[in-house]
Amino acid sequence: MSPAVAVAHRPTAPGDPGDQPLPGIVGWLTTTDHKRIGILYVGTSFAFFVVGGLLAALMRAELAEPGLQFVGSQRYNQLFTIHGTVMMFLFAVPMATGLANFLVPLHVGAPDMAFPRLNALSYWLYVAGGLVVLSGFLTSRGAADFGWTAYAPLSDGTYSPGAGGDLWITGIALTGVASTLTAINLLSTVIALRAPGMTMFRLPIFTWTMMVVSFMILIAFPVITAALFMLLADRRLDAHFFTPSGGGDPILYQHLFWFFGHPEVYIVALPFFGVISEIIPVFSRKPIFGYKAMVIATVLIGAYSLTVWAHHMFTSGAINDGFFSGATLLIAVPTGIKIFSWVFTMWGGRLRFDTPMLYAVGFVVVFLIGGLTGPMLAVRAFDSHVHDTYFVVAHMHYVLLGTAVFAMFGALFFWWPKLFGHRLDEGLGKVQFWLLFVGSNIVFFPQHVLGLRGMPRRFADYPEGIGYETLNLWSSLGTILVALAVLLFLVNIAASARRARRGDAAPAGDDPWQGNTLEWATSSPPPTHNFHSLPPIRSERPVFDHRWGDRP
Amino acid sequence: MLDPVTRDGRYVADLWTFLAVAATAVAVVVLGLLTIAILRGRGRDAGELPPQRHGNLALELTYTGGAAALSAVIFGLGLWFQARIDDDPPTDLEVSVQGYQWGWRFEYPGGRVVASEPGNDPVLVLPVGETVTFHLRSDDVIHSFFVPAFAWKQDVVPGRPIDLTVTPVREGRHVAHCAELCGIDHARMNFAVDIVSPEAFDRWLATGEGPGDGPVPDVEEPS
Repeated sequence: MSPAVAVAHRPTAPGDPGDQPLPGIVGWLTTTDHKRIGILYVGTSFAFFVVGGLLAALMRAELAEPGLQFVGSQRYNQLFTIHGTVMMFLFAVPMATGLANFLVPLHVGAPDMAFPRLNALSYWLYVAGGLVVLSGFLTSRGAADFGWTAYAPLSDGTYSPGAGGDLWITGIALTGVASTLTAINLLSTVIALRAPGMTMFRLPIFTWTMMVVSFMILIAFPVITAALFMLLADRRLDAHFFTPSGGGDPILYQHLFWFFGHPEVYIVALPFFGVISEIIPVFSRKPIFGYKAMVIATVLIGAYSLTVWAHHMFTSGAINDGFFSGATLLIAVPTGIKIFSWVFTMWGGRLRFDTPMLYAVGFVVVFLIGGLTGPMLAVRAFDSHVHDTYFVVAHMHYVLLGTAVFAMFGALFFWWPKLFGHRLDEGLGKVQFWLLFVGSNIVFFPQHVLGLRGMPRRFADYPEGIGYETLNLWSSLGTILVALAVLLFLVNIAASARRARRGDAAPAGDDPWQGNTLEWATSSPPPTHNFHSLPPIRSERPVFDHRWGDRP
Repeated sequence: MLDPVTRDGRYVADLWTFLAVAATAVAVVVLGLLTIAILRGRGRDAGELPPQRHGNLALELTYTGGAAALSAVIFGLGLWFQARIDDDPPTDLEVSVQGYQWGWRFEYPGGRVVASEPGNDPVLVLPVGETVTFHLRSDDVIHSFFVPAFAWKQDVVPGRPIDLTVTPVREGRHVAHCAELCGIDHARMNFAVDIVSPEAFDRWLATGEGPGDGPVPDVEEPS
């Protein structure tokens, strides 16, 4: 028996706050239970998603026609800065963290995370960081307005005075610390707390993606934290790290930012690739196609993503574009493996199109479109035309929408019964899917063309008569459908909860979808320490094996 | 779809055509397979398990190899086009370009200067068929010299003067932008490029009359 077994099944000491939750709201505020912290993360990050979405809706209202109608230029710059910041730092990463918090201990058959109190600290640091970022709107000069990339010297004290920038730096640094602590916690959990029989090549793909993401966070986040503090020193102490007048270098900031910033894209995307790799096999009733290839592809994407950062800097004329172009194109290979693997998992399966599967297929389509423009941007000769235009806006939104939005909704519909013991309404969920799918394509597809025609991003206004008007109007109108979809989801949450409370809907049961992985082997929601007993673990689908016995 | 007016821009247009065709082909293959998988798999009796295939090494190697080959082709073509673009004819005309918050200043040989004025975008007048080198400079924040009709942009980083060489091959007027966020009036930092005959250019350079006059013209809507 390995030491991991003893650790995994040691009950928590009596009196540990994670043992018996305190009643009511105090219980939630003091919890160290990974499931409650996971739910807190999911709820908080979804609230930030709504905030970031409202900021985007204001931008689309402004851009519906030429001229400034709703907000001034400075306010507009604040909108896209905080929109990007909220969506990347306060929504996408924490949403994945929330799912991981809930799922990883269940996936490995553990009673909790390795460090439950550290876990709670991560969550509260994240909440604090998010509120600090948003508090910039309350200052006299408003929130940060230099873009989520905060390029120096625009972001220094000369060109962006005011507390908004300092609050932005502080808030991001806090969420960075939170992410780093969570990464340590998740790695420790997967390495040390796996149940007997749960070898590394039996881990669910989602948990594999969180392992890789945690390594990436440990490499990338310290760099951005350092860059942010250098920026803060430039702003407040006149340090000249990035200001050429004092001998500093704006390009240095770009290197540091993107050394973090590009892995960050995969830190967002990989967990949602993992989500899709859990959903598609369950609703196809087949194992994932090429499990080991999937694991290797995940590791390779993580590794390559650390070598490609300067493809964001081709137009600076200050980098070796051959190396970064080649490294970037290399990522297309493991990404292609993943897409084909999802398709061939469905191939020959018996497909059930419940809402999670609908979102999973929607994800494949949307992500494919974003994935196809990625290699184009890796070519400097083409990137030099579309860099910093709406073509890039379209590209990144297809990638991020596919992952952090479509896959997120798939995940929420899939695991909602496990989180809360009741299902979300399937009918509302399907209507929401089609609103979102049609709406987001109307918003973002025309932006490819806008970018090819030359419309730069981060433009509060645009000239008339050069082909920007019609497509901008379409893009703005599509926003209405996307907003309705999100609203419908909130209605669904409320309606489903009410129906469950009144007893109008049958409880979800332990295993509503006939799942594969260990979270479906316990009750919904699971007891405080997750499992009363575990099925034998002989493959990456222990619950499937248990259900079907020795059948093929 | 792209219709640039410079020699280098036409390489970018050719490259874009290739990339668009390749991406469309991949999309057709993947979406086709996905559609077939859905049509074959939906509505089948969910009580029975389908064959539990865990993978297929030959198939996996095929699509991995295909993705690698396509990436290699894109990489090679990108380098090939970049070499064509970097290979410029000798310069006929040098123009100093300064980006600043929030405008542009163009200085020609002989001292003629065109610059942004409040409410009036500057016009960069260029002779068709001649090779122009822009000496780009910024003393405040990063700007980006972006003429969509050139299908090219060059960031202007303070402390790092940099050159950009282009050869316009067709007359016409085009709107151009600053493409790097540079502060409040970033979106107002537009200018016009007016590509005229060498004779008209020489006359303008000597007298200041002709093409550069007046406000930025309306440009026809691209199809």
